[in-house]
Order: sequence, then structure tokens, then C-alpha cells
Amino acid sequence: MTEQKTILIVDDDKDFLEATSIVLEKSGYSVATCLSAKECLAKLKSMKPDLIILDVMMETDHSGFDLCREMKRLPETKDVPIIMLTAVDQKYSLSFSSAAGDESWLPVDEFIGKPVEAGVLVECIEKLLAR
Amino acid sequence: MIGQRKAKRYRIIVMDSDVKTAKQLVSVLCKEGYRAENIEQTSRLFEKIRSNLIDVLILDVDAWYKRGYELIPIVKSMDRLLPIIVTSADDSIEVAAKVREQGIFFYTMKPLDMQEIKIALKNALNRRYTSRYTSGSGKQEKLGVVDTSEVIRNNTEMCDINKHLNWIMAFFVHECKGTLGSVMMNISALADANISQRISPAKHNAMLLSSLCSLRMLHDMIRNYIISYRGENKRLQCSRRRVDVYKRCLEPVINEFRPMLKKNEMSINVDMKGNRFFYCDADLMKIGISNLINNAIKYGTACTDIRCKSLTTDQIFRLSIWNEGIGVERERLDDIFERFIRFDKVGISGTGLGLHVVKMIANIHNGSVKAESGYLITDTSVTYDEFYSNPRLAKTDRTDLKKFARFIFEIPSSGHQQKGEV
Repeated sequence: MTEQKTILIVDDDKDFLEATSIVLEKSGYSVATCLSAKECLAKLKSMKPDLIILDVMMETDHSGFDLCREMKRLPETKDVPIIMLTAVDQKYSLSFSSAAGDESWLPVDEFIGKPVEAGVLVECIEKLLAR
Repeated sequence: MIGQRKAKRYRIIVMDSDVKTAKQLVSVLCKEGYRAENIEQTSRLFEKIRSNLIDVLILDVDAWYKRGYELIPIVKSMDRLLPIIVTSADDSIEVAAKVREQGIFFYTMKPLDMQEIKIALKNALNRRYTSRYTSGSGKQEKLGVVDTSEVIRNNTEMCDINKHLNWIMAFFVHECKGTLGSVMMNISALADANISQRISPAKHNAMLLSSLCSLRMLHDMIRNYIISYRGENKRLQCSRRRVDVYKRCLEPVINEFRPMLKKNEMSINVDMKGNRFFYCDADLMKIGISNLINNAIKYGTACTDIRCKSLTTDQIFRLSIWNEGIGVERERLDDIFERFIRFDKVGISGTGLGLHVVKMIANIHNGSVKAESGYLITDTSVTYDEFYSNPRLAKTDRTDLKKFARFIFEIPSSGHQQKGEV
């Protein structure tokens, strides 16, 4: 029997957290949620998720960016795949660099614009976890 | 100019680490009819500037860890027309030069001469609003001389339009797409055979209910934006007619909120006293009541009751909406009705326009709306003022105290028979 994977969702929209949790739980994952970057960093001290879904605009317009950079620096989360899920299509308006230390460095594995369909998100998670 | 606009109550922010001077200055300015407030945190100052809730800044060079003057370029970059009056206890020429070269409006030494401050304030407001609203002189135009005030006015108007566009963009980018995000997630899951077959009927219903609530919220956000825009452009009309306020306004709004109440396991207790008929604009009243109830649900504690009390007489219609929940911070009770101000952003969608629209609707009926908040002491609502003025209560440990918020919406009778009476 394969071990149940845990997904951590970080988003400041309670309704979105609720909807996505149902979808992922029904797709066989264990789900943990956080409403802010601060709460996420605290939660990561006591758990190690297999994948993180992250919103961009939370406490500030860029707190998702800052959080994902911070997580890639932390030894316990640096290898955890991150899906950046956002209402802003930043990938079209900003150019990102994959080089650490670069100002436009955005170390995410996948970038999906909101609104996203449940099937698309589940498919993306499966693809990243199978890597 | 300033005399005519006095009723508008200009907002003066004082930033001074010397609490005694700041308090004294705020008190003098409040007596003069200004809405003066002392702010210590830069985040609050920036929030005020961003929300356009400041007309003049009085900044002490020693504020903000003795680096007050470093704030000037930041403030200027956020609102380059905001007049800044700088105060200083340091009479050195170096400090004066360093501050003056940053394009401030007025520089004065401590101890403050209140008369001088008052005059400087008047002049600062005159310049800010004269440059915004007066038109250029025809004589100068004929001579081909560029009228600076005209240029500044046009520029300011452009800035206002840009600000509006930014708000619309922010609304679509974050609130609108964010809210649609949960709807899309729910509906697409239910439409996806692979996922939906694993969802129980109870969860299925919960997801539909949640989507309905999100769409309702989206509808209200768009409506509030339109009403606010009309109000700002003086295009909001009030057509008072004699209506049954319960049947036409309150009951339909409560019914519309049934799904949201069910989702949050909340209920509404309605207590109506007095007449049922009143002269008002029923459509606007419905919007105002809807925003107040929406607010009570959003910021209320799940599984609690919302108390809705109304009193209608020949002279007045008064509605009070009460909820237990996160309450309103004491220092925010005054600006909670300003545009784009929100109780608490985390976890709750919204544009920060709902209460502003309620105020607009109260104003257009020549009425008022006020917010009260405080603690629940053995189920009794004790406002902050009552709490802190009671020596016994003030000593209470507040950590576990529950909070409440109450909004009192009041409109007076129009005083005469209105057109379109039913």
C-alpha cells in the first residue's frame, strides 16, 4: 500500500482553501492548510509536506514570492515541490530567473493562474509527485 | 476656501515620538474642527496615504527612531502633492537645510507656536485644494504663460483617474479572480466524474452552497463598486417613497442571506418596533442593510446569532445590527467607513467598500451610521469607552474576552410628502 502524500495549501482565501481541501482529500491526499505566510512557516516546524500549493498575494502583494524563496533556503523544505497558484498571471508580466540569488529568482516547480479547474490541479500534483 | 470646506473636516496626521507634544497638538487641531490623529507606526501612515485619508502631514524630524526626515521622500513618492509640515527640536542649520531641500511645505522649531501651526495648516490646505480645484486665469492663457495651478490640477485629475483604474485592476486581479477561484474549484470538481464520484451527497451540497455564497459575494462586491463610483461622481440618486421597510427591505435581504447564514451556521434574530412604513429609497436601503448583514456574517463568529433591531417612528428609522466576532479595533472605529478599509484581510474576501457604501446611503438620506465595538462581559455588550472608563473592568484580563461589533444606521424622516407616494 502506498503511503498517503501530504499537501500543504497556503492561501488567504478561506473558501478556496475549503474547496481545494475537499478536492484533494477526495483525490487521496492528506491536506493541511494555512491562511498566511507566517502561519505556514510556523507549521513547517512540525510537519514536512510532500508538496506545497502557494498563493502569491496574502499579507502583502508579494508574500507568496518571499515565502517560496524562504522555503527553498530552509534545509527541510528546499526539495519540496511548490505549485504557485495565483489570481495574478505574473508569469506573463514578469520574467523569472531560476538562478538562486538573482533578483527575479522564483524557485517554483509549476505556476498556475486562478481560477483553476480541479482536474488540472490534481493532474499537476500527480505529475510533480511522480518525478 | 478653507472656511467653505470646513464641514469636510480635513484629516491631519501628526507623527511625533514626543507623546506629550503630539497629544497637545492633536487636541488643539481637533478643537479647530480638524480630524487630527497621532500615528506612531509608519505602516499606518502609509496605509492612510494609500487610502487617501490624509490632507496634511505634520512630521517631527525625531519621529520614527529619530529618522523622521527619511520618511519625507517616501511620503512624497506616494503622494507628491501632500503638504508636509516639519517640526524639529534641533535648531541647527544643517538639519533645517537637510529637511527643507526635500520640498516640504513648512519648517518650524519646537516648542511649537500653535498659532503659527494653525496658519501654516490653513495655507497648506489652501495650496493643496486651490491647486486642485481652481481654474487657470484667462489673462495668463492669452499671454501664453503656463498656469502652474492649471497644470497641477490637470495632473491631479489624471492621478485620480489612474488611482481609480488601479482600484479596478486590483479588484479584478485579486478579489474577483480569487472569489471565482473557489467557485471554479468546487464546480469543476463536481463536474469531473473522477473526483465527484468520491464526494458524498452532503459534501456535494456543501460545495454547491459554498459556490453560491462566493457568487453572492462577487455580486455584492461589483454592486458596491458601482454604487461607490456613482456616489463619488455625484450620480447617486435617492428617490424617497413610503415603503413597508420590513416587507420591502429587511425581509428580502435576510432571505437572500439564508445560504450564507446556513454555511456559517448562524441565524438572525429580528426585533422590529414601531411603524412599518417610512419614506426612504427602498432599493438603496436594501443595499445598505445587505452590506451591514454581510459584514456581520463575514466577521461574526460561526454558530452565533446576529441581532437585528429596528425602530420606525414618524421621525426616524433606526436599524442596529449586532454580531459577536472579531469586533473593530478601538482606534479604527472612525475610519472603518472610509473607502477600501477592511476589518481584517486574512481569510476574508472583500473590497473594503461595503461600509463606505452604507455611509453613502445614510448620507444621501441625511442620516448617519456609526460603529460600536467592545467586549462581551457575561453576555452584556460593553463598549470600549464603557470598559476603559470603569476602573473595575479596565483591570480585567482581556485575553479571553469575546468581542462584539454593532452598527447603528439611522435616517430621519424627510419631513414632507415625497413624490411617488404609494
